Order: sequence, then C-alpha cells, then structure tokens
Amino acid sequence: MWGRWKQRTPAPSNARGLAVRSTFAFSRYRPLIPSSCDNTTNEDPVSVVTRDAVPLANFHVFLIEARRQILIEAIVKPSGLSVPTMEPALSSYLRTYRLRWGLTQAEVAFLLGVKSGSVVSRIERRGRRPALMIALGCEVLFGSRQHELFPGLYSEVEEQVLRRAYAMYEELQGSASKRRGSKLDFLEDIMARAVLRNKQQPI
Amino acid sequence: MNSRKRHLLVLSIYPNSRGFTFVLFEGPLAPVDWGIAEVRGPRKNERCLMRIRGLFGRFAVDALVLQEMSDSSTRRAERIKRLNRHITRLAEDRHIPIFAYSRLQVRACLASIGLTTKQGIAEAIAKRIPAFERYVPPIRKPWMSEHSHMGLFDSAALALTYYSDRSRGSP
Repeated sequence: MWGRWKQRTPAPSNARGLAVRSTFAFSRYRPLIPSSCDNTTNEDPVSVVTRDAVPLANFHVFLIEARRQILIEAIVKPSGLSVPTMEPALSSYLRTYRLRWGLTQAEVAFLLGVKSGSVVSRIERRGRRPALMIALGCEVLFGSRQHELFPGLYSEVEEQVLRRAYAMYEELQGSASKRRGSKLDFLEDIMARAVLRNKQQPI
Repeated sequence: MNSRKRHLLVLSIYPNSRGFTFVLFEGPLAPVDWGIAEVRGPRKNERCLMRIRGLFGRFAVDALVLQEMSDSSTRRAERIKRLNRHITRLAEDRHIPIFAYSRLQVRACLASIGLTTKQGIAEAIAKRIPAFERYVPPIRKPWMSEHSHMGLFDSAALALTYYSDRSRGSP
C-alpha cells in the first residue's frame, strides 16, 4: 500500500518539488519524524539532515516515512483505532448551555425560530441532527463554535470526510493530471488540519 | 471499533423526600447536566427509579456517586434508603462502578476549605461552578424547611468528594 508514495517521491532533479515537500514534512509535522531520526528531536531537522549529509536516497525514504506518519495520524486517529485522545463525553452540549442560562426549551425554540420546544428536546436527546440553520443559530446564541456545541456530529462528519479524502489521495497517486500536485497539497492540508485539531482537543 | 478515550462521566444522585436531584460531571468543576426531579403522590420510589433508568439510558455513565446510607453512617428515612438500594442495584446491573460517601465524609472533605454548613457548601460550590449560582437558596429561618434546590448542592458535594477522593489516590 505504501509503495504508492514512492511513486510520488520527487526525483533528485526536481529541486522545487523537493524543497516544497521538505518544508511540508519538517516545519509542520516535527513530532511525526520517524524513529530513525529520534535523536535529533531537539534540533531543527532540516539543519541536522544537511549537516549530517544524509544520502539523498535516505532523505527520500525519510520524507516518505514522514508523510506516511501524517496520514496514519490523520486516518487512524479520527477512527479511534489506537491513538488515545480526549473526546467530549456528550454528542451535544445544547442542554448544558441552555441550563447554564436558565432557558426553557420553548424559549430556545423561540430564539432559534423553530416551531416548538420539542425540536430542541429531540436535538438534546440525540434523536435528531440539528439542521444547519439551528446549528448556526445555536452558535450565535451561545457564542460557542459548532464543533464545541455538537462534538458528536462534528467528529462523525470529520471522520467521513477524512476517509473520503484519504481515498481520493490514494486515487490521485496514479493520476497524470496537471492539477494533481495542487490537489494532493490540498488533501495533505486537510489531513494536517485534522491532526492539529486532534492535538488541540482539551484534556 | 471506537475505543477513543473520552472524558469520564460521573453521575451523582441524591434522593430526598421530594424525589431526587442529580448532577452529571465530566470533570471536577465541569457539570454537563443537572436536575431536580420532584415526584409527588403514591409509588414515589418506582417513579423515581423510572426517571433514573432514563438517565442511565441517556448517558454512558462511568461512575455513580451516592450517599452512604448504612445503619452505621448517615441516618435517612426508610423509603429513601430503599430507593438508594434500588439505584445501587440498577447501576450494578449496568456494570457501573458505584462510590458511596457518608454525610461525615462529605463534610470532612469540604471542611478542609472551611465549609461546615449546608448553606456555606452551596455558596462555595456556586462560586466555583457559575452555572449553579442561580440555584443557591436564600438563607433559611429556623421555622423554614429545606429549600428544594439544596438537593442539587448535596449531589454536587457528593461528586466533588468523589473527585477529591480520586485525586488523593484512594480506590
């Protein structure tokens, strides 16, 4: 499966591509440096690599491994296979926010412009996914981001999107399209953001 | 499949003469749900249990905190003791770990920060948890009975005792 990344490895003559990839691999994903370079964690990996004059072939292997680690983190982490993270205990915090300000379900329904409090009740009791208008309305009401208000729904959507992004990433490896590079960059960026988000989750 | 670590949910239930109160915490000072369930009329315990069953169904509770009501510890009415036993059995059926603290243990825990009266405890909890500020009952006169909101602070105090107990490393 990982063989495909080898196909994407920039050729030695492609200096621009190599520079872009090395920046990508080192600057944003320093914690994901493979174990073979663990002894250099306190130093700037770029300078270390340059100083120690790692052969170019090994450098490519290093980049491939770094990218593989990024994708493992991006795909494995959201699906909850092995990496422990702290996720919120509830799928919706609407009830918590409502109780915090002493509002009734009918009052919140009025503020959100929905028919009755039973809609709010169903969202609170996980029976119903909030419509976009309601989710945005809740964000306006309580001043809290949607992923904080509805973490269950958010992580569900995040996982599905990341899986699709990963599938697309795999598919693009064999593509000869001119836009392939920018698309791959975009997909890598999606995964990188997911990794960062998971790292920033409150404990 | 989904073995992702999450915040632990600690449910504290305090049965009283009017029904029961509960507070659900996901951290020492982070309540996510709370309520005062007033149950009047006959078959009080059955109706309380029905609502508690609903709570267990709604939340994946990781620990249940109750008041220790054995003969040697806190003195409570026979009906409330029975209800407490039923809640314990309900939690055992769902394999939820149960932690029980007597009134003395709660007081001892909160006495370390200089709190001994129920009113003082309620005010101190409300100070730390702003969401509970509006539930602090007015100071009672000798001829007044306990305010129904006080149960909420009793259950919160039980949960805080649990957290304090856990942070000290006791089982």
